[in-house]
Amino acid sequence: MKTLANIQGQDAALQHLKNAIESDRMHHGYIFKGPEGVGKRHFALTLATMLLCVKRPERTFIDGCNQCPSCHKMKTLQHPDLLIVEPSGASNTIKINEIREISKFVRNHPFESPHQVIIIDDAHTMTKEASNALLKTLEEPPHWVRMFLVSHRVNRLLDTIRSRGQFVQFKKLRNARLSELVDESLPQVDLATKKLAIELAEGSISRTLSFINEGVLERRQLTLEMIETLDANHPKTINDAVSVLLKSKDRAHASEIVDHLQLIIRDLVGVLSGTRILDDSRRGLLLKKLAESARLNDILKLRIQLSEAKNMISRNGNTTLVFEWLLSEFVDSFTFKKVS
Amino acid sequence: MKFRISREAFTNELGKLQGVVSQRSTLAILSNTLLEVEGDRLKLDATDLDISVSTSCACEVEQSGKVTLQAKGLYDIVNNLEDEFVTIQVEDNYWARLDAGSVSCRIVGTHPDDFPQILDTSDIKMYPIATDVLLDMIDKTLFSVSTDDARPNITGAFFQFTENNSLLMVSTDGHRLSKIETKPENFDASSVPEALKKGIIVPRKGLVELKRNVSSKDQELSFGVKQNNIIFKQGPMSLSIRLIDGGFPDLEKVMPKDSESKAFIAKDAFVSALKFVSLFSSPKTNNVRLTLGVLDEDGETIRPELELYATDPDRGEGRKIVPVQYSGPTVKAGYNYKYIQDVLGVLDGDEVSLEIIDTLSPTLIRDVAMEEAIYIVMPMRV
Repeated sequence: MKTLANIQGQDAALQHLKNAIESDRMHHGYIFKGPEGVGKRHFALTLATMLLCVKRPERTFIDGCNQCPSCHKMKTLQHPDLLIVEPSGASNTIKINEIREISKFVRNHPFESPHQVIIIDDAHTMTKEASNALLKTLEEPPHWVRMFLVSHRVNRLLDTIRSRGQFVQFKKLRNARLSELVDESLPQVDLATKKLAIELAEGSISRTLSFINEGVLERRQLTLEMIETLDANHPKTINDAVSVLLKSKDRAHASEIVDHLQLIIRDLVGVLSGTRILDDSRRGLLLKKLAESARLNDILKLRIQLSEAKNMISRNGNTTLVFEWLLSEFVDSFTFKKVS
Repeated sequence: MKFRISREAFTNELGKLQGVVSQRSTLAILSNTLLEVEGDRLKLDATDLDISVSTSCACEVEQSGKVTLQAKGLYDIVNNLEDEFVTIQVEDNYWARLDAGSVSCRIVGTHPDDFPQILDTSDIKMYPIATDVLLDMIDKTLFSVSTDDARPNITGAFFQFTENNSLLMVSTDGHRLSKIETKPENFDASSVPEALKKGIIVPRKGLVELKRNVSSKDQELSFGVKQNNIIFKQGPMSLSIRLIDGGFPDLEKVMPKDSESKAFIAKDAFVSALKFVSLFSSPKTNNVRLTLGVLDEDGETIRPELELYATDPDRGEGRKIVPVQYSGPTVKAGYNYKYIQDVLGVLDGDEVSLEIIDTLSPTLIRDVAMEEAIYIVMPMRV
């Protein structure tokens, strides 16, 4: 059961909705914006449970009663008055057909609850056609409809969508809170991994958990090791490194490796400017070695190239080619690899 | 919950639910039926949210209770049993244990609260209506109900109790329209629900389900309106249909004026001529041209004939003449022959009347023996 007690560190968002519901001035379309994995969808579901509960007195901001048949259905999200729309298919987008389902859905009165709730998760993945199809419903749905658009990239939403919704800002979670949440769902994780994952996750619980679960930390280490093997005298080392790093053909994977490279550069900049002190771990030693053989100027240049690479990958560029180019730039930037 | 029931009765009642249970819905629970035993009866509910069917039958109740089970699966199981009686007992985890003679099985079930709350129909004021009258009205209008979701307000039939104390049912898809008006006997006009006087729109699927579930042998049928639903009851069965919101197109605006010259045609001859000529029409447009009052070779006399003509560059052209009773001028117009075929298909009489005004005006078709039903087909340019 989704409860308000589970939503922490989002006081502004909570207060916003509390005021709206208690004063009976709830808007019909909210856009929950803020970083990925900080509880936006969770909050939307909690509100859905609240709004659909048949026992809740009007103008009260309290959890669903957890007793009535409606709350029972919310446990499995199998509620006739709830519609959740998510990206799907190979393109991972929300298509016009799904939006048409929404128009159909709101055509009928609620089946058993006082409201109908629609949650559009990752709303920024709506195609242009889908967004346009949503406009009419989002502008003036029947009075019983409440819509929550959840997105961590609101700038990708069409202006016409943005102007029809009311924004609710969510914040990054504090590291202490992340640590609590990790303990809840993955109690057996060792402290070092947890700490590193939290540090990398930038306040997002979903990123923290995926860092821990999907071996992201190992890949991060592997990326660094591969940089170390590069040798300007043997161009084959570049090709080898690319094939190791791009073991999976997946575009998301490639983009993640670029993230790791960016973090390495960030660390190096820190080392060279004296703001970051390295420990004696394998990672620390490798970074130290790289830092000694590089000049700050070259590294700053790499930083620009990395963001360019990321752009190319997101635009369907050939990942192998992008990486070959990128790694040869790395080779050029580190003096100890240059042909003497 | 535990009860014992006759297999035959159970199969019968489960069969009535099969039309509304859906397998493909995003809401998995809709493929289930809610079983409830209390007193000495078993009550069964199924819904697809738009249409809900409730029915009940007698059984021996050992312990009352509720559970939801897969409707299709349960029907197949019970239907394949050989013994006369079935015992069902629900376990704590909502699995149902079914025993019948040498058969014993356990069926996955879920908590009764998973099932959507079905409209309570016990307190509704019901009005009697003759089953055959209603079914006939549905038969004569169902075919022209629109299937275009972009215009939801015409994806159902308009149903109204008119000011001249008659029941009206109209359907249209924008290209054609069917309208039937009947004066039911024994219908108490003073107590008709207000909503019905204004008119309601019953969705297509509701009409289909009504036709499926209402037995024409049983004249006892009653209906009522509650919260945007129309409810039909016959015996233990009750069917609620969620109505379509919105206004139905204004009838007066589309009704053509009576033309001066009607043609009378034998229905069977018309049907077979249409079927023949359609062999030459384009499969994309289904075009057929009708000409009433064929001009003689002398260019003056008008022969009382109906000419049907179709042509398609890939097939050639075909023509057939049918004798008619007609005294007006020569008029011709093109049609989608399927629309005309649909109309002729639901007419009961032997003779039909056809009124073509000109190439673009709506064309009227009627059953001579049943003037209260009107069919309009819009011509197309050919």
